[in-house]
Amino acid sequence: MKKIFLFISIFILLFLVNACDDTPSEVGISVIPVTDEINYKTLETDSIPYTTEIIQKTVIKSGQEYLLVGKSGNEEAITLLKFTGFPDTLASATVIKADLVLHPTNYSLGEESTFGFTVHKITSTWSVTSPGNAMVTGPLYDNASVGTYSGAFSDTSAIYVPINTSLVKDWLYYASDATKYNLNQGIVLTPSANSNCVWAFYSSDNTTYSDNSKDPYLRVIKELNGKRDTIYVYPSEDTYYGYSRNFSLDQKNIVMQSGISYRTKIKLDLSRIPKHVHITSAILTLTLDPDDSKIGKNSIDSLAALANIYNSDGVLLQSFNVIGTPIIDNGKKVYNFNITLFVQGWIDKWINSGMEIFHLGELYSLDRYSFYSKNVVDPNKKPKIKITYLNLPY
Amino acid sequence: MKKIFFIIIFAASLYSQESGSPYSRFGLGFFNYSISTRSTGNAGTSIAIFDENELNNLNPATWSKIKNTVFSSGLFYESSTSEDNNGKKKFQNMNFSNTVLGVPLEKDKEFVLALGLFSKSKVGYNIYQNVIVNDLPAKSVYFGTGGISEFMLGLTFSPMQKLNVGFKTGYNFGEVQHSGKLQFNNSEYIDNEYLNSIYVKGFSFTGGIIYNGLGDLLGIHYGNIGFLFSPKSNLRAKKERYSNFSSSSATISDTVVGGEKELILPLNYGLGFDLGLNEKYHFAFDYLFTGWEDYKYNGLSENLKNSQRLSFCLETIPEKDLLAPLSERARYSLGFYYERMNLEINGTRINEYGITLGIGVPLSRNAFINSAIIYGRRGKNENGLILDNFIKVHLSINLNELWFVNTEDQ
Repeated sequence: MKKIFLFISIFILLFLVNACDDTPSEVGISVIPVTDEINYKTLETDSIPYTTEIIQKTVIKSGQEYLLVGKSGNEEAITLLKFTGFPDTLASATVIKADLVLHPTNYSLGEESTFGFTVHKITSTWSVTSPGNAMVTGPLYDNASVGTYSGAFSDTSAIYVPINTSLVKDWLYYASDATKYNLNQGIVLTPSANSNCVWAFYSSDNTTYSDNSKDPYLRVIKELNGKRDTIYVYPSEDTYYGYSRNFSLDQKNIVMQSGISYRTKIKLDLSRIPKHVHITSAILTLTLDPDDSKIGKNSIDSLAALANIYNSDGVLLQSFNVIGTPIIDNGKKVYNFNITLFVQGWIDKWINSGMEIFHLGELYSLDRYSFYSKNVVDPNKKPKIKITYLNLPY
Repeated sequence: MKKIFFIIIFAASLYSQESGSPYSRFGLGFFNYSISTRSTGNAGTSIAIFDENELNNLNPATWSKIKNTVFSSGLFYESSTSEDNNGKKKFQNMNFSNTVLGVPLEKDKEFVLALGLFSKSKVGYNIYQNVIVNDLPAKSVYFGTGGISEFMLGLTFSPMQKLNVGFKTGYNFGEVQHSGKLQFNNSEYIDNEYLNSIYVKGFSFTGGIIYNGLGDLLGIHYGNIGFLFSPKSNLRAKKERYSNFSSSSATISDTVVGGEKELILPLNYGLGFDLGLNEKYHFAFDYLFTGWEDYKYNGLSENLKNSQRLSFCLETIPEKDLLAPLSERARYSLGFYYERMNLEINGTRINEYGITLGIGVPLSRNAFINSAIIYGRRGKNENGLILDNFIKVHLSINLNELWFVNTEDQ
């Protein structure tokens, strides 16, 4: 009996090692349900309805690289500077000369030869975090000019804009009296009436020159007790504010207006994509309408698509950006946005709030990027969406 | 030595079970209702057949007649060929089928306690297809494996003369895997694959009854009629998906674990007869119904159809005298079965039928070896279906000893 047990045990162990001889073959493929198939499917524009909406973002322009001044069509930019760092011992000093010193960047938009601005005294309080829309429309600065400048720039060398010495004298006086300190609200640079150009200057927050060598400042030659010397005052606050006098939210195109800032929100209808698929590629392609665009010299030419993720209570949880850089396709300038991450998220779990397309130079320029919409007649210019997904059965 | 053997058998019983047909893709695979080797040799006919040496799992009432503690364990070898318009594929497999222990507790009322472990369902397929994806040649591979096992505990007794009743509960457990892979022969494309695993657990119940007084009514040597019923079982199943795929910028591995969902195993019931024609021959047949249309996982059915199975067998022991030659004391059986399976593919119901041969050889007073051979066919090679031809060889060893029984010496 023991021999029988031993024989059977060995027999079993041998077969455990060699139990299964199974290599794949094509036999039986016809009975495998289609739901098991791994396959790629591609949906293109016609299968992915979408809506577009132009929205204005509230952009806080503190800590920006540039200060924009100028005008381009209906869009304008003004720069605000506040100089409060005067010693409190100069109330009786005489201001011999005062210059606003600025360093232009190589960004400009429009006819450079027409560039010019005037300087005005600001008459109401402001801060970089809330320059206020009223700065444009209300009597918040004196109409009387305290300085002017006109002409283009060939490099980033400093320009010196003479400032009315009486104004600076007032600032010296305010600095010595705490009760009048707030009367110094600085100056605003507004485009000249005949200017059709926007120029950017380095701000005090610019990181391009970490040694502050390109920061704006006020150079004041003063005399006190018969002694003349020069003081340099850097802005306690500086910013710019862009606005439009006639911007319509009903544009024929998909428009991004930097500096103000307008973006276009695009929302895709993804209802034709099944749940549990893996998005392997999702590309949004926009074609630039050069006739409706205004892009400055040396501008950043990249755009971004932004997806904000909200919870069901509307609280922003997270944001994701993808960059679109231009390529030339059959003579047309097109931007491709790889929105794979967004589409996957919208399919899986995110609330689909759409994505905002905006210019990466939104804070540094007054550029207008205008892309053909689905209303354009030429089908090659319409926005294109191509989503490829991998169906992994679940 | 016996202990070592038991340990090997028990451990090996926990191995996943394989099957070799694409038809096993559906549901939880092929269900195996009859796991004893003797009943396999009888084409599965076992609802009304008592057995003193080997316990079948179909009808617990059949355990009543064991005289000693019975341990049995079996294994099988399967060789199959699947055939369709794409060609033929051979498959071989060897694995364990069951381990069962039956203990007679009280002889007058025929109380028998039984427990065991057996393979209840099996999935096994391995298929590929050459495809074109994004204008590139690729190979789709589909692979399925696993199955569920049942650990059962049951009790049978005789409440009155000629009537035996049995109950069993089974704890079902196991993992069924379905996977797919898309392989590119291009270094720029990453292979994509998924593995869907379903982990199943939960209890099922079966009751059975046999009345053995039919012989008097029919005027034959003996006659049994048996009935079994197993209600719907609400099991729990958790799905886990592992996937590995490439996006435009990265290769991503992802595992999604779902919550436990309800998995409904359908009811089944059966009716069987065992008719002793004389001292040497008996004839038996079974009818078994399973309501697969009620099968659901997570509220979704797989469009399975109710299955029905008919089986017949003729069995003989030429000579019961212990002094007779072994070949005459052995038990021989011949069986046939036909099953209308739970599958309907391309509008065609899949059927299976087969013939069986069984031989049971008494090695000694305490040991019995059963063997069985099945030749069967499943499906057909037309209408996009496949034809499976298979041969299965089952082997089991059955040992019995006296446990828990007071002898006169004591």
